[in-house]
Amino acid sequence: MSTEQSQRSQRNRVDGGLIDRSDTRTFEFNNKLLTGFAGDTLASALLANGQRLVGRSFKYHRPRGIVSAGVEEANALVELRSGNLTEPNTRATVTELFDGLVAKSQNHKGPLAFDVMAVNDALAPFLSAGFYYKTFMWPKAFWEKLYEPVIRAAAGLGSLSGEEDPDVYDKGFIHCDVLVVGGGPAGLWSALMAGRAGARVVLADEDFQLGGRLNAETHTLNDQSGASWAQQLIAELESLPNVRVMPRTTVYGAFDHGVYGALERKTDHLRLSEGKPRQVLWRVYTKRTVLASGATERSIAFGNNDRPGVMLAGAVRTYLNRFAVTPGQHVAVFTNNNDGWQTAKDLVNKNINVTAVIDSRDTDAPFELNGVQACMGAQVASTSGRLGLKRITLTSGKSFEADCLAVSGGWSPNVHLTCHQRGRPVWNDTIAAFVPGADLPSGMLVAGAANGELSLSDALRSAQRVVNEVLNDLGLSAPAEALPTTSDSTVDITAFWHVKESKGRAWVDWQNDVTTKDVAQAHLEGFHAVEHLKRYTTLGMATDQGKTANVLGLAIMAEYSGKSIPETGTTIFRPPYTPVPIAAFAGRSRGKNFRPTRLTPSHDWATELGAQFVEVGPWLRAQWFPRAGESHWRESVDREVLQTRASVGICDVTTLGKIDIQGADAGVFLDRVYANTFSSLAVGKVRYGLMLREDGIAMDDGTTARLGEHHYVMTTTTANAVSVFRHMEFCRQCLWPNLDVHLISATDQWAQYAVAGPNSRSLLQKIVDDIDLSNEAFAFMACAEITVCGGTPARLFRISFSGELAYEIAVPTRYGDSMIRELMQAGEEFDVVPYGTEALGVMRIEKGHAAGNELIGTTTAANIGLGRMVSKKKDSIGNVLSEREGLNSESDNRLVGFIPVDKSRELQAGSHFVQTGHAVVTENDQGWMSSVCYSPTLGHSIGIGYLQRGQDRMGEVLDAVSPLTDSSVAVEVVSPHFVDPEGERLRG
Amino acid sequence: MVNNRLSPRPALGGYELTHAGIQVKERVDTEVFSLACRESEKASVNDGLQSSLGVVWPEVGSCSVSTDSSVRVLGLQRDQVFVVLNSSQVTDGLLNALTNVAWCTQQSDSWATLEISGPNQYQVLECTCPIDLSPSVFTEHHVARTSMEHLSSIIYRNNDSFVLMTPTSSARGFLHMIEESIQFVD
Repeated sequence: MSTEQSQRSQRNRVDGGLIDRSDTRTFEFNNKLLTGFAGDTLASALLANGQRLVGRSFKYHRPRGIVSAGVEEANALVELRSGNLTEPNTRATVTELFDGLVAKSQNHKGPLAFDVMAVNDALAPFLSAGFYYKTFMWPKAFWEKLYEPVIRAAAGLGSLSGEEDPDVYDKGFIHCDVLVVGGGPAGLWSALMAGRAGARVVLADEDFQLGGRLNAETHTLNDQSGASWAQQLIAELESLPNVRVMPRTTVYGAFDHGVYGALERKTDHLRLSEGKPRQVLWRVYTKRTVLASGATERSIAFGNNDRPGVMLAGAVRTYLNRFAVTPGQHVAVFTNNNDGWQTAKDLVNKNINVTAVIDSRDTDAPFELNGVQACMGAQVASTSGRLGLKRITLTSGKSFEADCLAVSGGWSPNVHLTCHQRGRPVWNDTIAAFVPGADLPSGMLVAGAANGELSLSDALRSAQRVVNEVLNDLGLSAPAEALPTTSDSTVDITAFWHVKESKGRAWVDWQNDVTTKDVAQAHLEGFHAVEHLKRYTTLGMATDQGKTANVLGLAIMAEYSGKSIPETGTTIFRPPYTPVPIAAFAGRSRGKNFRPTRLTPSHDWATELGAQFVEVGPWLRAQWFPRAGESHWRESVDREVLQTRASVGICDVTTLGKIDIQGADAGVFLDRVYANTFSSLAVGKVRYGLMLREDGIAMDDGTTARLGEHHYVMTTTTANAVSVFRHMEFCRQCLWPNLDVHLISATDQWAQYAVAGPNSRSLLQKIVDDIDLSNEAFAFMACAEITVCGGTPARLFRISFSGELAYEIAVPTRYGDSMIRELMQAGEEFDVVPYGTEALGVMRIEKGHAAGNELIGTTTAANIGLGRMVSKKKDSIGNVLSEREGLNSESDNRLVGFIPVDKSRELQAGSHFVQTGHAVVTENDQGWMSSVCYSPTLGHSIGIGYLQRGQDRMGEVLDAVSPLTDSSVAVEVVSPHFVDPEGERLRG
Repeated sequence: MVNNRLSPRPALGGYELTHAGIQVKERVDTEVFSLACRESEKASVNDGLQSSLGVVWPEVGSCSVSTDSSVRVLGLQRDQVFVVLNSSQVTDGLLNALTNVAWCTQQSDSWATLEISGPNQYQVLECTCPIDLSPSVFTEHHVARTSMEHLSSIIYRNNDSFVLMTPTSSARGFLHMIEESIQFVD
């Protein structure tokens, strides 16, 4: 589109403004190509192009237009972008225009101008507040099958793409002395004074152009325009190294201890984010906060006050002065204060036809405007125009042509953040609005319009006062700087809320289609309380959270109740101030970033071998190592088991928790945390240990080696490494602080490999330096600090989880990769095989070792056949409560083994045991199968599990039933030690 | 006995990166020892540290740095500190000295160490590190144990750069987090 065409299409452009006319931006609205300029919002560009109708209302599908110029926008919600970038319910008023922007209107079936759902408007008498609650009660069965699906299908604004959001989001942390919320006159002044005083300042504003109302008004400061004065301050702020200026950043919540949430829109104003975070959610830690969040204008309720073209008067000034757009060519003003007159004045100064100023106050006009009819003590009764305003009619019957009606019902300070710690605003009659109460979040001070100081000079004075207090609190000296001289005006309001003589429905909350009639109905039905009013009528809900509607609705309720507004009450606000995307809360924690993985030092080596990995907590462990020709995981696992039992296998067991325990009282400490005794363990020996919880239930197990007189190293299960360490630290620091014992995790310090099988000794003998590994010299359960491969420090433990002759060798992690490669090379002559967690699991079931499947939080030492390990010669955690009668019955479950009677049948973990022929009911349940596997050693399926009096039932045949899979297998009760029950191999 | 000696391999393979005004380098030349003692023994431990390494037992959150900056003691908890020094300084004599003053545990392989520097380092770190790293607040004599994107880390300042220590097993994830932060820098 040529520049000429572009300018022709923007028929509502006027002179001036803060837009960059040299930077034309092309965008689409409902597939129509339009243009605007850099510095425009989508809303200002639409208005410039004469697009008044931008959407349909939520409930009645009424035609709606832009009403505001900020975050309070209730109507102009659009679907932005397309495809997987689609974002519904975006406020056009705060959407920065970029080249290539694509927007669509929402909530209509058919074209925007001919929405078939507008039939709802004709049904309005039946759809008032509480309609759903009263209507859809019968017949009862219809709710789920008919009413709810139909209502759900009709409800909701906009639509999601259903595709994954391709943008990235991030989070971050900012620390400062002073957080200034809002970049209007009060905010800029506060930030500058604090910055000049040397405080670390963060100035955040939701707009892309800092300056607030200075950019929207025609005020002067020291004979400079407001916008120019703002630019001067911003330039100085940006030059200060201790000040961080953050445009496009909404401080959305005030949390405990001076923590604030802020959403920075980093690339929302660009067509594509190019891999950079689209939005960043900041956690701001501050010592003091200056809330300078300004105020929001509200409307007056009168008949048909929702037609496109009816706008807030302050917004009209914003479009006119900042964006160089007139929202109409024939503008009328309806006001209850002087601010509406300022709108008329600004329009006249831009040569826009102002047809009338209708002022509800029965006083003299504040000033005369040439060619403008002033109607004092008058009210607007109704409007007309199907898809946009054409005419307004007063209660007197007089009417005026108008394609835009600027309405000002007064300004409500943006007190939202003052309420986030349960602060309650208080009513101020002078400005007819709520102002911040005394109970502010700790460290927060409020300045400017947010504090109810609505004139420019008052706002600056309050900013000066507040920043001086802040600097004094921080021990800094306030710079001596005189406030600028301002051109000023007062709001001078006489509260007026709604036109009782309205013809047609008078809208209170545009976004939720709440009318004065709905408020009246809520009152009639007893929903007087503000919170009830909100929930019954939906007043103040959805994206705008009633920023323009709450006070209006409350005031109307107060009128119906015959009470004052303070007596009627107010809702307080919770975070967020404006909507925050869920994606921003997630930040980069998506996909693999959601849960980081831990890798062992042999990970790359295992990857090279094509290992299949499994998540074990945060660890990735090799599950099995497939070889060419193996088409099923069982083939790989069976091979690994058989080869290990026949010769030698190696498994990475680095993930087991390792806790280094030192101190003169280390042995005593272990005696207290373990059920069995460790103080008597000889140096150079390892012992299996069982740890109980306070209630006597098994908590974890593992081995602990004594490396020196006062030095032990404990291993825990992989899953419980952290919880066991935490438990032991609690014991050390809180239960027995007088013991001389010190703990530190050494899990990541050591790479550890199990070397198992009859040839494990021969293999290791090639690796270790000058140590005799014969059974006589290094017996089962021996340990030593040694060196390997010519001097690398190592630890060697002769322990076995597989039931074979086995060792675990540990080297510092940096040597882990090299170690596994050396072990494999050294084992070539023995046909060594690496094995993964599946083979590990198979071998431990064949050996009958309890593991995570067996230690399930209800397991006692007796259940797993280790009751005698709970030493009664000493006290230990869980010792006393393990003696409870209920935990020591002869009929308790015992860990036993199971084999299928028909060896071709597969067992299923989780199966329950019932006596053969008995009904499969809870009363007949005698235990369950906790672990099963196919035993390549035995050639059939095996299992271990818990069975009532299991120790006395060897040889008995039961049914192992699985109601989940509707299967039943006859099993024989056997010893859980399927392989080498006498332990000859591991001691050999 | 096999003839091959084992080759050490740094947790991040000796990683180095320069991008967008940021330098990141894995430090492969440092050793870390944990020292622990009881409160009642601190005075004598302090003497031992002073005489053997020229450092003292720091308060939690503080560092003690030797005059030539070659040894740094990180105050991580009331009864436990980390001694960080150059690999070339580790001798049997030094190990004996450490072992003699307190309960000593080798921790060098538990931690991967990254050094990050450059004018944009703050932009990278503020994405993930909750600590206030402003030079006026977090000086060379400070240390913090914290969590960055759910990963445990220790951070301290070394002249104009920051040293980040993170558990070896999750170091690749930690590095990914740093790399992603660098990509996000404006």
